[in-house]
Amino acid sequence: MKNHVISDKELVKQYLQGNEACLEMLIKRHKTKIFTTILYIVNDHYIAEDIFQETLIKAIRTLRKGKYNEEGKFLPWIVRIARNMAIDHFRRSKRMPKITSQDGEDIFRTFEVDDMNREETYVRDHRDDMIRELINQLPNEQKEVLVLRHYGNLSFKEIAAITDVSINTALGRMRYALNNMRKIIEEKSISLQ
Amino acid sequence: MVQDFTQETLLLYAYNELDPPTAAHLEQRLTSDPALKAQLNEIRECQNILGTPQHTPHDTTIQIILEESGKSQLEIH
Repeated sequence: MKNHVISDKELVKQYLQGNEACLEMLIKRHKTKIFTTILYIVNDHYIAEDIFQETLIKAIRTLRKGKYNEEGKFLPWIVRIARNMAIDHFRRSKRMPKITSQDGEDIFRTFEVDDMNREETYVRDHRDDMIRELINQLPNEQKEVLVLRHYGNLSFKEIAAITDVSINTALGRMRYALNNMRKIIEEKSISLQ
Repeated sequence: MVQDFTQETLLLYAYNELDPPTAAHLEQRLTSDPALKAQLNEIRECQNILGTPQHTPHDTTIQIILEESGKSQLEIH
């Protein structure tokens, strides 16, 4: 028997017809990509939670108003909203993202640790902190393309459109981002194993 | 004529965005061009370092969103 995966387009359609469970399915399907993208842009777990919430609520309102016509491309649409929300956040707070540690003060992490092997959690968190630090050392334009392409799953064409540059510029920024990332790893002898 | 493949083309390929005919051409070239293969491997290595998205919002955040959706549903009807 074939597994039938309901498309995003169908879930959006059914949600607009009143099936609330379809929204939950859409969120469950894409929450990791959306949230990781936001987190790596703003680099703060609490702000990322707020922006995730604001993004989805804005998306719901847009859907309800019948203004969504993304031809089934739900995830890139949401990631675009999230990226704009993150930019608005930095405009409001008049500061750029800075590196913040994810120590045990993070209440969400504390809850998770109870259910996981502590050593595995430490290794995972440490590696993740290193990657976040690495990404945050990149110039903002390079960081943005890298995060949107690698974690947000936007195509280079979509990134070019939302950042208002040519596709060659978006690709060039990604190339520089990866080259710079490798340079930093080599210069600082960072181990990410 | 031998086609030159740039790092940008390799990036498109690594992220599955290259059109199928060019991808097939590139794959053929990769079998006989170690320098090009090495460049692709460097991109793949970076992709592996970056890993897959793994952060999720807290359940409470999702609950608030779903409640907000429920409220706006009620406002419509």
